[in-house]
Amino acid sequence: MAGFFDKSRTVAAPGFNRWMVPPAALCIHLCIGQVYAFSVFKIPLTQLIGIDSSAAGDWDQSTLAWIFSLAIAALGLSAAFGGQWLERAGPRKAMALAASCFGGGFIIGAFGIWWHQIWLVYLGYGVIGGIGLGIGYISPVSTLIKWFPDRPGLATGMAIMGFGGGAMIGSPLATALMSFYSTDTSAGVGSTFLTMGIIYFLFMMIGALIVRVPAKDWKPAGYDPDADGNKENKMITRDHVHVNQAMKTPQFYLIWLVLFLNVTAGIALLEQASPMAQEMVGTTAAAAAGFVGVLSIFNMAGRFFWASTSDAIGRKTTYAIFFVLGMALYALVPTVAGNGSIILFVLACCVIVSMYGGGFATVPAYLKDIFGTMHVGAIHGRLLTAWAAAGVVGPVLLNQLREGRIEAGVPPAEAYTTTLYIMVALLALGLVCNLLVRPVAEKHHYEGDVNNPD
Amino acid sequence: MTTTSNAGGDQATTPVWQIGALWLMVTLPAAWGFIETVLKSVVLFTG
Repeated sequence: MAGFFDKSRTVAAPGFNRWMVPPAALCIHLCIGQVYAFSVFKIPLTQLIGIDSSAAGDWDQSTLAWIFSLAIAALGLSAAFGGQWLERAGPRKAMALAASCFGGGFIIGAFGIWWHQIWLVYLGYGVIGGIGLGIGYISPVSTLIKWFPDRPGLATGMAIMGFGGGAMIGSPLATALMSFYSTDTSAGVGSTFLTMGIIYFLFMMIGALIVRVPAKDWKPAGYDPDADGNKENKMITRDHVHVNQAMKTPQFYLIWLVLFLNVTAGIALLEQASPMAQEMVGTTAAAAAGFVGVLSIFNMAGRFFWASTSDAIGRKTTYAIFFVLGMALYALVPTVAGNGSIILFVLACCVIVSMYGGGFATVPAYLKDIFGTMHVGAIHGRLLTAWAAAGVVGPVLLNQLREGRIEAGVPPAEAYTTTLYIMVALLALGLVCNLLVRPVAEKHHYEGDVNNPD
Repeated sequence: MTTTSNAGGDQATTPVWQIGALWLMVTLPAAWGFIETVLKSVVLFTG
């Protein structure tokens, strides 16, 4: 049975249609994107004993916060350290592992909820589920890039858009299941975890069964990597860089900073979107919740739009747009809010968040352009540490700065202004890093057999 | 029924219904989640 999951068994037969691969990738990303909807369980998990309200012995919010933090930490670590294994093992084995970990994590978490043992939820959804997240996130990326060398941004954009869309499925699914399973004596959270674990496992396994890698030397009909237009573009390499060698190049760290700074600015806004809308333009709490929902749509749509646009205008230009347009919009937000223009405020935030999503979706194609396709999945995995770092720095930076300003006597509505201007400075730094990205020096190119790298 | 033209492969033999079914399988839940989110957000934002 193990042979069935081997990379050699996933090589596509002649005539396999490459448009079968994006749905396989979406099977994974639409499931693991559920992690962004984990907050739907926050209140029910604090009422497992009390049912209608928290009772003595119920878990509190600070205890539960660790579940999400552990999942994101495990995502970062497994993506960083699992990437090289993934390149050797192939996408089917990696996707099956991701399905087992993510689905299994939910199921272990269900037992933790039934037995009221928080460590089981930490271990299940947090650690094991988080490993499924990390491996699942990077597993289809290099396969998609190999199938779509002519449109890598479009291909990876579709998959990573699925990650953004996963929360949109996970949230109403969990709400519907909890409503279905809830009784007078149970909130139905454990049964919801079990059901979601089974559904996600099966759905992700479908992706693992469908996925194929292209045969050696396969290329799309009509695509010539050595065509004059491609040859002239020095920012798209036809060589390959080993993942360990990539870590020794300045390009890796520059792109790491590009992603880190783009994500830091975006996360800071996303984290504070609701209070910002209420305090800066005076919306109600309900309208602010709607505003957050609108942002999630732009976050998802931006992933596809910007990544596929990057195929036409180039990766470096796309990131330059993110930083220049981002600087202008962040600088504009306090003025727009000061004028009380809700529509312009919402529009500016929506475009900013679309570029946050676009940054995630465009970076695999950027890595492919700079380092080649051989180890792009593994390099992408290492680069995702920038996401984890930004996840800590972004919200902390915004909160600390804002609280500092309020303590200094600045009204809450104006306290965001300084922070937003600091984001402009961070984006300017990101622009410089992006402009410094040049083709990798020849000495870093891989000399061995690209189809069987060590 | 098989495809006769393929943007990707030289010899196209993957049945069209398989490709369609796969895309349907992923787009249906995504569309459900998307519509749910849009409706909820618009109602909250405008309400």
